[in-house]
Amino acid sequence: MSISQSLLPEFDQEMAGTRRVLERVPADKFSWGPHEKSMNFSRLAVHVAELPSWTTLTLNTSELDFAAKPYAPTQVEKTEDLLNIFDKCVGEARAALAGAGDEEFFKNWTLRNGEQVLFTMPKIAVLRGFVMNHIIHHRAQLTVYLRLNDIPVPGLYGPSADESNF
Amino acid sequence: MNLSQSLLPEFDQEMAGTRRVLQRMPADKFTWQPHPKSFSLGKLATHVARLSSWATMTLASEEFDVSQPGEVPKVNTTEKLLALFDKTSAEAREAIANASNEDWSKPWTLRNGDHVVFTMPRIAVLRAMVMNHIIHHRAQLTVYMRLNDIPVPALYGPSADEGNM
Repeated sequence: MSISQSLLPEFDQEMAGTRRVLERVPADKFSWGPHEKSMNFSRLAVHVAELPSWTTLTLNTSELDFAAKPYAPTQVEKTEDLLNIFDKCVGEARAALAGAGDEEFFKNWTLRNGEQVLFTMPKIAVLRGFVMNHIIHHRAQLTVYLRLNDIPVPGLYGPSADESNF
Repeated sequence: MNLSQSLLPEFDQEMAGTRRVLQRMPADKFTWQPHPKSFSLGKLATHVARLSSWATMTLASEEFDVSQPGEVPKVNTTEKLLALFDKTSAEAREAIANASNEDWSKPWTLRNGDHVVFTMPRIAVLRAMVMNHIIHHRAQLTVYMRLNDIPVPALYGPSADEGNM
């Protein structure tokens, strides 16, 4: 089995779960945050919606320099805007994953901040540790944001207090 | 490629991050919950501390029936929480390290009595139900920390308290 083929079922499952969370982020709560140090609802949701694009970036480049390309979050006004960003990023990411040969996953990829190298790892490790796990991490934070706003939380790895997929 | 060898670096990295979160769980907040429907901090932290046992269980069995749940250990101090995590994750690491590619490709079933929730290769169970599941609940704990003014460790980039970039 190719590495792509081994990654795609999990990618599809996790992206489906991520979309179910993003669909429930209400536009009238976009500026809400649970704490003054927290990202607000829309900033965190935009981050989750955009993170799949790191799949495409990792597979199509050999490095990213934060200093040369500072991150500016996309502004959103509606839940639909979030879903449009997410669907575009996921569509491109899936195509990049499906099109990558095994040798591509073993090439090194570097994250740097100007002169400072934050890490250099094989692309397969970047996709796992920095892309997929990172999406799951922030998506889970969104589930607490949903809970705190009395919005039903979808079951992801088992039943939530609202919904059972068992 | 040996699948176990490809999994261990990520397992080690994620377990190290998980330990940094669990270390900061204050015993005097174990009964705190952000919402009446939420797990309490102590219950969620205990769940995170025990989840890697699924790696050991998946590799030692062909199925698990959630309608026959085991006993959840009572944890009432941060030290006990860490002891539970350390023992569970060490056993999981050993099980992962000793598994052959053939072991990973065997199907494994999660059932709820007669209802089959899923059957997938063990490698897929490890990814989704062990790693991703731990990362999911650990991330929820980071919001619990934030709401209790406990500094949040940096995991995939800087937090508002700690930067690694």
